Amino acid sequence: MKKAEFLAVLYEKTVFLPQYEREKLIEYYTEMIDEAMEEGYSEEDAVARLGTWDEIMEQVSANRTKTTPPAPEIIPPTEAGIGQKKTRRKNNLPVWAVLLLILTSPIWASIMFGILIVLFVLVIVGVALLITLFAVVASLAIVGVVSIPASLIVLFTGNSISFAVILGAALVCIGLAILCEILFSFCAGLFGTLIRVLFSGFGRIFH
Amino acid sequence: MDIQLKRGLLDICVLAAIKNEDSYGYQIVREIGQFIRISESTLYPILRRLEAANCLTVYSVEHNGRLRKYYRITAMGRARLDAFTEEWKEIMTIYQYVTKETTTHEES
Repeated sequence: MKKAEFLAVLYEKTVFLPQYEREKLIEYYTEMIDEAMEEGYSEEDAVARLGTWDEIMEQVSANRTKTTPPAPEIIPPTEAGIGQKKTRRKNNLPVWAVLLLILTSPIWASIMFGILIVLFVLVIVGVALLITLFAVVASLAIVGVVSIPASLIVLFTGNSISFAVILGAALVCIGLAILCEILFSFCAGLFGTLIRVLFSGFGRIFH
Repeated sequence: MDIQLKRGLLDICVLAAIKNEDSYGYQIVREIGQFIRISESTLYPILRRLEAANCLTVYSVEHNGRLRKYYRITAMGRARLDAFTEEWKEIMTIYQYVTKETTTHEES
């Protein structure tokens, strides 16, 4: 087969390719036949050494699904071009949005500040409440514990009614202290989780 | 040789053939044909694939009154070659392990 005939058949056989790919293919095979002829092969041999039509067609459609044909790139395929593409994708806020964000900063910044202050006050109040509760429980416990020996002193002076009243009060104080302690630890647990939830929420807003 | 492996090796061989200086299709086939079975027809999809992957660029030079296409490796193509050599260092250690295991087995 002569070169011209081969190329004509190849062109006919590749109708399924986009025109751009088809032309590239013809250019490539033209070059290959010319090279072989320059090396001393006869025209027929230069064509024959390219292989059978089955082999050629198999290679022609080898990565057909992968290469999307006409990619005439505006950006040259250099490192710089690739780098540009990547960095551009990173900042996806349009310019107007950034400007608006800066211009309205007196409003949203003060609102944010206000929210922060309120949260801070809430934390302080919570801590104060806890301290007060703790103080009450502690005083109850101290009164209870101290009142028991006190009641014994009263008993030795011979006043059995006063002894009974003071001992009763002491036991009530100790009982209340234990009850409050249970309540206290329960509330502390609740408060702790509340704080944690609030702060993780804030963390999510700022990250 | 495994088809997928050969496909990958062909890509690497083509990149290696243009690593030091730009080359053209016929010359590439002649050079790497010494190591791996390749024809002009099989080279074509490889070149197109590498071009699409930005591993090489193409330019034409006039030669004997016709155009000859030259292929030049890009930074990405070089990175691919580096990745290959790194990967094969690992494979070579595995190879040594595998072959060593069989010889000691035969001896005992």
